[in-house]
Amino acid sequence: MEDAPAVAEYLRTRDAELFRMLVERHQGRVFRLVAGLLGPFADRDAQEVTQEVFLRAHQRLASFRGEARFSSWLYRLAYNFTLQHRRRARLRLPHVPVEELEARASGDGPHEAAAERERQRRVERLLEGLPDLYRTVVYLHYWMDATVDEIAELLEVPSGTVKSYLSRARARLRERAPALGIEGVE
Amino acid sequence: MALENDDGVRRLLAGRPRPQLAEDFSHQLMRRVRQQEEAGRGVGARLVLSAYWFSSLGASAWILRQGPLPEWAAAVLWCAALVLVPAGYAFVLWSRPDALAGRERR
Repeated sequence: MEDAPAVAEYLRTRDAELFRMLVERHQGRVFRLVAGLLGPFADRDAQEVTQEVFLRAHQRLASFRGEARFSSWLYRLAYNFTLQHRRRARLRLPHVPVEELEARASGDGPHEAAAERERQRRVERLLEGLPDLYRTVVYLHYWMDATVDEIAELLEVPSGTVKSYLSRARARLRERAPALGIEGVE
Repeated sequence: MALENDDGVRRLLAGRPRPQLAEDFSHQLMRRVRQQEEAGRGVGARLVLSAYWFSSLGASAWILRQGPLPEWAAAVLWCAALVLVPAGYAFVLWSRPDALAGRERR
């Protein structure tokens, strides 16, 4: 069954299996989008945020009128909700990267651990300093290994626009890297 | 730390583990969906009971204003409005623990 008829049927019958079918059909892509939006420095919440996205979608299902594709409606909801969560989370808690925790727990000497912390901090500042869209396409493409076409579908933009975002993001990274002590940027 | 075109960006992110979706994700989610629906029904039940209680109070006050009633009749009326209806409200909530699930879940 296609998405839109399944939504209409679910709203009529409240048959949980229909909603489960929609979840299982879209959970992988929504999770990738959420992970890409949160990024590798705050990815621990990815699963919880993905659940919240689907719960919110379930609450608002009646507002889906079938004018757009269900996947577009869902990805838009995931995008907006995850960005909100990301902003709230960054205000609430100082983020400690996983690598920092690992370095603390490992047997590395204090100098190596400090150097690694500093390196990670600079990389995080470089990547997290990108605007939302550029940062998201960089994480989706280079970290989550999403193709340009897949990113285009998730963000609802043409593939050419994704390529343009990636190109501009790389340009910004090249521009900002020297100031953060990251060398070899062409 | 080099950063050259695609490879450079990839290197920046290399070694960072990618999160994986749990295998039982949809199972966990459907459990929360059920809780959400039950909590919603609990809110509905509370609203209906509250409306019933307030309308009972209003009706009792209206009847008492209409004219003198025997003392026992007024006592029965107030007892019904102020004790039995709230007691019924509490009984319905306590006998349906799922009605409170939404508040207890987090």
